Amino acid sequence: MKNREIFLRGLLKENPVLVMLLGTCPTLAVTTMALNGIGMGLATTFVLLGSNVVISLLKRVIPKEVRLPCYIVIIAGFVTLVGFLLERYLPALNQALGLFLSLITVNCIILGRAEMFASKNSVGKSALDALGMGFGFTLALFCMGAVRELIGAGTIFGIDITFGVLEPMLIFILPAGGFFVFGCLIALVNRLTKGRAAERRSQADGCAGCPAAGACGGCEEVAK
Amino acid sequence: MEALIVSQSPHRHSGVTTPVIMRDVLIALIPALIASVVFFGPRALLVTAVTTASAIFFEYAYRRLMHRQQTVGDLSAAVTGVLLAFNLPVSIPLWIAVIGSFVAIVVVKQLFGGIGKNFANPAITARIVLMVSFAVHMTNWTEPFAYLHPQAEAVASATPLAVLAGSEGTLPSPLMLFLGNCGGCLGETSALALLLGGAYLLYKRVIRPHIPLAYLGTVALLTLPFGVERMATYLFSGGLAIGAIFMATDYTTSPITGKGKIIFGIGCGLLTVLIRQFGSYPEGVSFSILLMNLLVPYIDIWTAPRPFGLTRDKKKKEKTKTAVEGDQTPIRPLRDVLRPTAVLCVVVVLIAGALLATYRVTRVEEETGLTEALISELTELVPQGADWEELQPPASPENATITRCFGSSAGHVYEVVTKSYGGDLTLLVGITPEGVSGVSVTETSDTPGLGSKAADEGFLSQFAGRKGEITVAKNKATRDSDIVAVAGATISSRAVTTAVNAALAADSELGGDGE
Repeated sequence: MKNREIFLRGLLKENPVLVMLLGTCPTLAVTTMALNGIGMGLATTFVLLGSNVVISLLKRVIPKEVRLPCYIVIIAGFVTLVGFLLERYLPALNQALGLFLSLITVNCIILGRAEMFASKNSVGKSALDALGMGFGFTLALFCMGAVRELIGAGTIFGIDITFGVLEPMLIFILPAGGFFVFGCLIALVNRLTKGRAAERRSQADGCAGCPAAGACGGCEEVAK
Repeated sequence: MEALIVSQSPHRHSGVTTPVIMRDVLIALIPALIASVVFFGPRALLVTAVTTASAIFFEYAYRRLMHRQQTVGDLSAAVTGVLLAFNLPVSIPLWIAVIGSFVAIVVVKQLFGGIGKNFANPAITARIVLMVSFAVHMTNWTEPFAYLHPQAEAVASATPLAVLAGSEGTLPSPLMLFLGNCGGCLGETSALALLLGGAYLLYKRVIRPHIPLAYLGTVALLTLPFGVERMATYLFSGGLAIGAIFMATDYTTSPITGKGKIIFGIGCGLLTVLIRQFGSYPEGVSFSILLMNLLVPYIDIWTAPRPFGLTRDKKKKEKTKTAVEGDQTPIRPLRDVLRPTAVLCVVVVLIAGALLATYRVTRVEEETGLTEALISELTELVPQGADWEELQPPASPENATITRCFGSSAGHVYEVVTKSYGGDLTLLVGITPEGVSGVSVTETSDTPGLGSKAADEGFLSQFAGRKGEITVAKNKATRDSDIVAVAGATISSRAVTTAVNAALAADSELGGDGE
């Protein structure tokens, strides 16, 4: 696979949130403001980059039997590191993300990329994959946060644009509105990719229909 | 001789079609519409017209845009529009009513496939969306017959349920509630008119009595221990009657079998009483119907009738013998066990080492006493304050608790906890010799969009510079000591004021000279 494609597919075609539907919990929980979405996205990208590179480096050292504990320890290490850094240098963002920062550890995007990609590919490609997936995640979170902040609070990046006339629809910054925007964005991405993501899924049964089937290889194992 | 036609059932059409049913529902809603115009004036008619017209328009436009079969003629959109209007207060801005129609028709109904395919009642869901989004407008109740005196200033009135929950106001008698002479949404106030409509629907066999009876019966039974008058208030107030008769009986979103309908009704009643009694919103009918709507598919599966002549399958309890023999794991060489363990240990140690190194770089020296964040918070409340120190909190008055007290060169800050609508309300009050210098709410569990507004800058800034006992006025400050309560959130406003008064009292006890 070409390097360019490895990077680009994470942005839209195999977007981890809007096509693969991974990492839904942080997506819904922290996107009440565009800035929070970007912060969460970049923190996750950092962890993803670190864990993908380290796991790719260690792919020959880590025995198959203990690979999952090893991955989790590495991921948790990077998450704690991000936590320390944010606490020291960006306490406001740290407070806004709260519990969800530590929960990056169990974000399935990161473990998924480790298992599906980094453990099978070179360091360079793993880093590109991490950046593509990370930015795709950030992009999705930013879009959700921007829409929810605009309609739900009447602000853009915290700047009031209602001029005291318009009234924001509070439900958009509440969980119910999050699900609504999430659904609309998934529909939009489906439309942008001309339904390719959904089509592939419906054509093939089970594992092979997954958008990540190419990188995962799990379906071949199932077939055996 | 006629040809013999062999076909599957059904063989006869009863003549009852969707437009006929919907027309009957519209007819049944007429008494409530008349009642709403009598109590709330011609604007009730305007609101109803706007929601109905916009609902019909959205239905038509969506089907047209999506190239689907046109269904606007079945009148279901009109019924949704009228029901939505009946769930809005008369003073609702019309653009909000139109948003409500959009949510009901497009989001709840058409996105899921149109009539017969929606999983929740459109009007109920639209009401909840509006209630959560525009809480202030949605709870701006006007007194009945207020439209007869246009010169008089509009008087906001609490609904009977809000009064039960602790709002200021007098509880109308059950008879007045039954007739509908009380504050509330357009169509929900008059239980009499709604019951008339319900009787017509029953007579026409449009609805069956299971759901309304189970719903109202459950509410009555659960509130009977509180006394008959309280029970009557519960039954005739809020959206219970319109919910039980018109909303919960929606074909698409209620169970098919009689048994299922009864379970559905009991569930609605139970949830309504629980929400009214313990929830942070005073009214729970719409929430409980929506929640039960979501359970309908499961109720239907649970209560599916047994086909005639079949007996229930006896559950076969066959114990499958697990194959144990010949599957013993071979003894693995020690190397295969040791290597993974060693690698895992090394990874853990390396990561721990890396974290330790980062921690040493990023950690902040532990400060003794007050943290930097707290001091900056305190300085915001008492701007000239310096040399902060924590003091022994003074004795608390009876309706609030002073949990902490901080002193500085310019004034004191008190942390006060008091009871509000949704539970404890915690706030910091800064006081200087010139009076209150700043108030900030640190913890609140009040209704989002209503009670939570009492934590906003706009409301809290009214306290600046106050001295002596502060009182709360509802719409307009008439006395010098008055501050104006947040619309729709009198209890929260009062709780904040109580806390500030407590802090002021404590400060004067301490000497109040800021030393």
